[in-house]
Amino acid sequence: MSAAPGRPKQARTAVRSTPWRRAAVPLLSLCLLLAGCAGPAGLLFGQATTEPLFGEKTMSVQAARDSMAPGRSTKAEVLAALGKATVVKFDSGYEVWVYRGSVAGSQPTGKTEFVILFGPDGVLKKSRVRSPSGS
Amino acid sequence: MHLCHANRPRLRSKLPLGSALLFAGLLGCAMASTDAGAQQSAAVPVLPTVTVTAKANRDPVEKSYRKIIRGMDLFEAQHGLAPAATLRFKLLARRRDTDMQQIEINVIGTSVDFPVPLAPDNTFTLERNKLAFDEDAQVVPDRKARSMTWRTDIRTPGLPPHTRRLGDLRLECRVGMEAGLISESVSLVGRIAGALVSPFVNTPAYCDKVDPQYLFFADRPLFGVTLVAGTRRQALPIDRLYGGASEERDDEDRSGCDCELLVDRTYFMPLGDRSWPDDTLVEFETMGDGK
Repeated sequence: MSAAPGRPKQARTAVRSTPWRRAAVPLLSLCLLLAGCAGPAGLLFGQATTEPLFGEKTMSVQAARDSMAPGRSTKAEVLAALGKATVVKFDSGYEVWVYRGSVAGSQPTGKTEFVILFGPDGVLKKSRVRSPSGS
Repeated sequence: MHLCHANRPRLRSKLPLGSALLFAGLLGCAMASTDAGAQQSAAVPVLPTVTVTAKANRDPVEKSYRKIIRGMDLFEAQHGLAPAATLRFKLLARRRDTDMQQIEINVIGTSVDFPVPLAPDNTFTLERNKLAFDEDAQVVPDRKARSMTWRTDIRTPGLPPHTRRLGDLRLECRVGMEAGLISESVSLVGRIAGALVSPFVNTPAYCDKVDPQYLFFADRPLFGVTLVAGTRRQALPIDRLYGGASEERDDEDRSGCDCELLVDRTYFMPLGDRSWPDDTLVEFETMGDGK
């Protein structure tokens, strides 16, 4: 494209445009796009992260359930068996412990939730599982 | 919304000499002016203090009568979402020390003033009064600001125990927004920022979002919530319970949320997800031994 009439031509900058420089902008944009897609949940194009559900990476949900007993298991016992959880504490003394992560071979891919309720006495009351599909 | 104290940048201590002299001159003029004012006031007889009071709706425990009436209008216009349900409004405790017994509510305008009967479960309906509407009256309970919160209560009769109907909840959200029951920014700055960021956040249109963060309160502390439509069942993820507390830090301040006391009963619904029909049942599993 020629310069507008009556306007002096712009001097070429001293830095020449090299191939890698030309590629830099699209590459940077792609990186930013991918970072945005990754998002806080760590998802990239629907592919789940491989964050394990429990501290013991190979532990299944059924094995987790078998390792505890409602009305008997304490927080310390559950912590020792399953590892650290996200804990939500309530003024009533109840606590909800949340384990979230991937279960090997599960369909569809995504995060499974294993949720445990402790009563004010610190003893397990019940648990529930939510699959990535919500069932 | 949380307010934090940012570190303020320090002012430069060195002022140009000219600016310093100008500042000193202005300060001197101001002091001289104050002296003159003091001498003048000494000569004028002192008048008795007159206190002028006016009702304003800055206190969130009071609600606008007009807005609530508009919410009632919306309920009638969109009654199809919950054809068998009736509309009531509900007061809920926001703080542990709030006395929820024998609350009195009045509608107060400039010339109109009438009581609102409150049911034992702290629900009420509002009578239509043209004068109160014209005078932009306030609905005023006899409790301190931030001691209570308000919600709509729209329930289809005859549902199984521990369930709600999704269409009822959709209408609760819309009417609640239209009635101005939700006002949860802790500061004016927060309200302005919220309005700029999301112009629909305080309108019924907000309820059409797939996952609006309109807080519903169950009757009892919750352990799980499941949507059921025919053979289709879907449990809410944990971040839709407890006001999203599972996503927060342990020391998160919830004082700006009206779920402060009721956090174990709160849940969000996918109101705008129309793949769930209005007749969808919302099943609650409670923390207690009963379901």
